[in-house]
Amino acid sequence: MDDISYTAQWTAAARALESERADGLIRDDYARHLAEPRGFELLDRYRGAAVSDFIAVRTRYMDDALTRVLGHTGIRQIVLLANGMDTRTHRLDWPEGATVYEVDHGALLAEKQSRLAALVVEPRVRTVPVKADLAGDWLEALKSGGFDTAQSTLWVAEGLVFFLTEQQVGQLLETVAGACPPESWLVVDMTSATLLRHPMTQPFLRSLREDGTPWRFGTDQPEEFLSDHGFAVRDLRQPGEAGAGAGRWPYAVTPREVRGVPRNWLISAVTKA
Amino acid sequence: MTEPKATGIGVIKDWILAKHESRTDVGPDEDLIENRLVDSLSFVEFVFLIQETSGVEIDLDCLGINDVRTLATIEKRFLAG
Repeated sequence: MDDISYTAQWTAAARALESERADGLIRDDYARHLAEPRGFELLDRYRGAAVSDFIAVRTRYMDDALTRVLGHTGIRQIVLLANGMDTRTHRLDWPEGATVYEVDHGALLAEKQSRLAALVVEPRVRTVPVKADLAGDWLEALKSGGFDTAQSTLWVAEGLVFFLTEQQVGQLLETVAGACPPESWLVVDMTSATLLRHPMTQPFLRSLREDGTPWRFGTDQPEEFLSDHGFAVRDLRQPGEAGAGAGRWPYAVTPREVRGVPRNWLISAVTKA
Repeated sequence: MTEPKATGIGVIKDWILAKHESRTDVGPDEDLIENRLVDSLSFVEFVFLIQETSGVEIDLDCLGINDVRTLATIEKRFLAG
């Protein structure tokens, strides 16, 4: 498996630990099986930057956002972009008639499928794996898998865009926005430009660079960035706020007007008309 | 008898100890960052506490990390006087 797939094991390890906490925000019974062989080692390597807490809060925010959007919109076409070892297809409740497309590297999709099959668990929704590289022409591959550009869609990009360049993120967003009708939804997380340049985060960022999976993109103006690339933000929270791990996040939330603070953004947005 | 309320650098030390239950003390020259007593996310709260305790306004955009690396430096840089 390539480097980016090891980061999928890393986040799976964080989800496994969260699932085993009495006050855990999420329950992913498969995560421990998907975190091998390197997930827990990476969790230890990248510790000290609240990574596990962040992954727990982010996973729960995205679970809730996804459920909320599907509950009130009637959207039945869902695309999970590079969702790695995420098991939402196996652990969430899905509405009747939903189809989930999982777009990721072929090797990773195959590995996840075989590990889940070994646990004798079936997805709880019609799931279509789409082998593609998000840096390539993934939309054609998605369409070949049955994706319908005329249908309103819910897109989920979790733990993805910090691995891309700003230009790649812009392009990805525009491709997504152009591939579905207005009022389609995107649930995404982003880090801040301040986090990428903050002296306190440099050891963590250096480890990621050394491992061949550098974080490249962050923005301090997520609303503007998304708007420039076809999306209107409907909900934006920082970890620790209500609906984003309040009471569980172990840090104080700093108001947005305070400059120089490393931040992460949890976002639900819609495609603009 | 209750412990007298900490002042000055004692406030900073108490804040660190409260976050790390396994610790009973922090040395004046111990590197708070290398030893992960302060991490990237608690950093802001930590700086605000120094600001509150010292009355010195600190601009997070301009703060040098070495100014807050040890209790001794913090005391010298922000609390002496």
